[in-house]
Amino acid sequence: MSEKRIDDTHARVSQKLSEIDPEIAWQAWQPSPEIPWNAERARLLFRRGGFGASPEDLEYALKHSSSQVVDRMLGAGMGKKNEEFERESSQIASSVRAGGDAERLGAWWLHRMMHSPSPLVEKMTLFWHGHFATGADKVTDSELMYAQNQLFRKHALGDFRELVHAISKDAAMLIYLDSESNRKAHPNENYARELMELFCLGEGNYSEQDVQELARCFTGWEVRRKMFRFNPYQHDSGMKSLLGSEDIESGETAIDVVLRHAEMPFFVVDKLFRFLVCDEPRPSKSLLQPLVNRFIESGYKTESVVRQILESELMLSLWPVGKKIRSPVEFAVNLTRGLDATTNLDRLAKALKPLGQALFFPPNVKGWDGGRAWINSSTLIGRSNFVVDLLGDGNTRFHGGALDEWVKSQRISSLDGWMEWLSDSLLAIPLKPDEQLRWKEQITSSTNANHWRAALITLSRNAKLQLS
Amino acid sequence: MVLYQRGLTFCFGVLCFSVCCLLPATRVWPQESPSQSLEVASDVESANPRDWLPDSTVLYAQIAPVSEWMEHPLREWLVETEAFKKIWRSPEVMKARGGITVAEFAIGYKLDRLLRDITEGGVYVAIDRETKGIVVLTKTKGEEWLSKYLEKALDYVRKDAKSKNQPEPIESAQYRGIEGYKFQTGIFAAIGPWLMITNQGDLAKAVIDRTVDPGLPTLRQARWTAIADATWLRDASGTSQDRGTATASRLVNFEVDLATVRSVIGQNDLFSEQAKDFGAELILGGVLSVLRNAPVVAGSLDMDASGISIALNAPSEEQWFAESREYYVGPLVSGRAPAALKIDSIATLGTYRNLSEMWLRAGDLFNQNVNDQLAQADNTLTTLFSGKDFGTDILGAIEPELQLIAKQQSFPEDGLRPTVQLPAFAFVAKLKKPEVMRRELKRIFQSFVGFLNITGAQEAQPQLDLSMDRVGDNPIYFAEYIRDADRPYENGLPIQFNFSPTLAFLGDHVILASSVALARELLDEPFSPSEADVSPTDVHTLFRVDAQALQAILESNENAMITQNMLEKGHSRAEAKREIETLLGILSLFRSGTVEMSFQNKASLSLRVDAMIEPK
Repeated sequence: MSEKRIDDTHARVSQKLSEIDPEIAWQAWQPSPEIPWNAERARLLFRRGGFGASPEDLEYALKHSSSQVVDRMLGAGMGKKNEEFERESSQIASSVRAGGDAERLGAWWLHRMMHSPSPLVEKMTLFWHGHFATGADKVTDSELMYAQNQLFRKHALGDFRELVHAISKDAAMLIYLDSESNRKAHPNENYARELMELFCLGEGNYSEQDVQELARCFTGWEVRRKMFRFNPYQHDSGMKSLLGSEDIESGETAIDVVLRHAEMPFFVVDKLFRFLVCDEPRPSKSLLQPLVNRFIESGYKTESVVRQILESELMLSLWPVGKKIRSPVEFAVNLTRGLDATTNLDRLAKALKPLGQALFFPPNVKGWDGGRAWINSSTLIGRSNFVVDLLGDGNTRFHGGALDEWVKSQRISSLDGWMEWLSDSLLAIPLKPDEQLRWKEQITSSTNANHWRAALITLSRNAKLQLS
Repeated sequence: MVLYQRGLTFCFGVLCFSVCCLLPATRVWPQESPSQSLEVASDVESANPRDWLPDSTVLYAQIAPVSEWMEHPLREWLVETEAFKKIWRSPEVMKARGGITVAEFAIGYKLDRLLRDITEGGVYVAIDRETKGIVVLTKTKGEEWLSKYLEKALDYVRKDAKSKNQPEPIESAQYRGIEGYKFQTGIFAAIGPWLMITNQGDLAKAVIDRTVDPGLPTLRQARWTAIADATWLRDASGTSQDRGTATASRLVNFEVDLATVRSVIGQNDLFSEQAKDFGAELILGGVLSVLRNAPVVAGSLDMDASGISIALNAPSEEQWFAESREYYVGPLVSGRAPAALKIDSIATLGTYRNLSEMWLRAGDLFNQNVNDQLAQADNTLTTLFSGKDFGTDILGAIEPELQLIAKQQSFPEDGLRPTVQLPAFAFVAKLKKPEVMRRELKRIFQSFVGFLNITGAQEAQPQLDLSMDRVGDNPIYFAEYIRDADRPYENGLPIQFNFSPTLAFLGDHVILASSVALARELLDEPFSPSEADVSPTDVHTLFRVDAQALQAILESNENAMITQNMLEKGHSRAEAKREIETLLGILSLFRSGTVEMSFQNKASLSLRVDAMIEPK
């Protein structure tokens, strides 16, 4: 292992991504007396690999190593708790599905994000939901949306190739991309195009001819009775050529050809990097190369790349701090988990829509753009209103009680203490003294006589709360 | 037992005190008057608060002494119920009980005993329009007793404040020989054996003025109270007589000056001539007519060994119902509910509504927005009903005496059941031209099922299979959802499987049911057209709910309710389970409930909720 480290003290402000040595970036981070494992690193890990740290998570993290924390985020050693949670979640899902309303599935999923003993699995399920974007507005069947979500969960950290094969036969996906009736006489090119452009290779790595040929391979792939069905009478059984390979007959073989393309691992790893590390700038191929190697060596196991990123020198040097904008889901769940809060999840799921990320309703097949696109004047006000609504909702409780009681239970007795706690727990980047002062003025001049609440509401308008 | 008494007295004490905290008060006696130290009339002992309250009183209520509430036979039963015990042991109540014990120790008087003595001669509550104040008058055990314990209580409050280094908490002043005390936002005064508590000094003065000067206008002289006092209005509910029990006692009587309430509220939605909500008009249209015109509403609360009755009565005159509301009360207010079907059910509703007339008079009844929506619905429904005009031909085909029934469904014990189990519903009405409409309705029903299958197929929903059968001589048409043979339904059946839409005919009656089983049961009912034609009472609407049946259906959906609670309240499973079990526990306290509405002899309107508590 290289002895070199990313300079922890200056990393956040000084080092450009292009200047970071890939070998150093992806080596496993090791604590040292000068660079110890601490709450700041643990919080970053929970923000990126999950939905923020609850007080309990943080307590655990500080008693264990970063690697053990990642294990726990994957549900390791949580056997009984996991079992109980899955049973409970399944009961909630049954009840929600009985109503047939896809919007309510969002509430069920938020429950999982908040309470799952394996938050990393939920985080990656959210990643795949954005990657293989499918909207309930077009699919209309909540059962199919639920089945797809479970599919993402099952393959969340598994073999990417298996996931691509499975999603290609997923009824919700086929309906969303108009492949439910893909006939030999009229091959539908939608899925073929998106498979290469959005799901596996990216633009510039295929030709129009490839799209047409791939679409022929998928002819006869239909949805009947809410399930995938292969209709041999509608399948074009002639030989096709795709991405330089000849004599391809079936859709399955064609998917394998796409997956064997040299650009595929770079495409996937690049997207994982942007999801877990930073929105901008785009990483160079040389920076991604060690991750790509790991991806290929592991048999395209997503977990291997995700783990390497989360436990890396680049991540735990704190270089990524503040370099991602929290998505609305991350913002909402981070906040509630950070405050140990529970609330009306139906309402919470609905509140995500005006913020720009309604679960199960991505805007189009490209999914959510993310990054800077999350924030504009309207969504920023929306985020503040979200906090006001959350605090005003009679169902919102903090560790089962009122906010005042919970603040007391944290042994916080002064406004300064509360501001410090909020700053440490919720902000990725600490406030500067003048920002701190301005915040205090906003709280004391607020019409809200309850300073605990006023502090949260005024903080929600702060740009730094939007950063992860 | 003692614990229960404390709980009840505490609740009552909190009620009394909160009354005087509703509106802020300033000084004990605003604009301190010269001490017109006139003597309070010597007959205060036997005074009636109606003679002390100003004629600007808007609400007046008489409440039975606390002892009557606490010595009621239901109490013993109630404290033994699990639901009560659970609430009694809850952390919130435990905390309150601790506070009460401390106060009892300091005053040297058990709180329940204290409240019994304070309210020995009854409790009277009034809200005054002029002062925007609320006043509670209680007739205590006696003048001497009141003086002693008022002093003790004031002393306790002063000592408590002193121990906390707080300033003098009690202000006091005299008005016309009466000493008044102000503590926080409440003003207290003793008038002979009467304790007066209010939140407005002006109101306190108005009361004291009338104890001294009988010439001032009083509540007794107010025009509306004369009507409220009318025997026919006050006794209209006759609840205790109806149940034939000798133990019923009236615990609360109240009257509200509706004319003043209307003038204060002004032209809001409630009193608007054109409704903006179709459902509210359908359910309450006639009641709103009464509320818009009646000068007064009187009410009462009665309790006997097995239940509680609440009655609301108001005068009612034929001309108050505009022509457009004839659909609700019938010509010359003659509308009556049909004879109730005798069937075990969760709930039954029998009522009079001329739906066709309502539909066709929509232009007068509703605002523009509702009318636009109705016009749109009319078009769609006319298409759905094969070109028949919905208002005239479909709704016009049935008589206005209507029945609705809800009943729990039974699903096979070992077979698949819907994840969420809904009750079955049925609508029963008499056809005006049965010989014509039977054929028409059959055809429309078949088209309707076809329509559901087409729209269901578009959304990948299960399909309906249409069948026909006979029960005796009566035809029954029904459609049942078909299961996918290759689908495991591991999470139970979808919600659609609660329904098997059914159309049936029994003589000249039509039955529309959500389940074929319920329709079959209704066809077995020994009701005949001639029986249904006759309404046995003057009841316009009769709604009955069987609490045990309701509890049974909720219990069969307990799991769904728990998960719903988890999502809606963010509760953990244990918390949600506890809350649902408490709800079911409370429901288990009741056997049935009844709401009755009538426009008796064109002169009064009464609503009654009669919840029969299950004796153990």
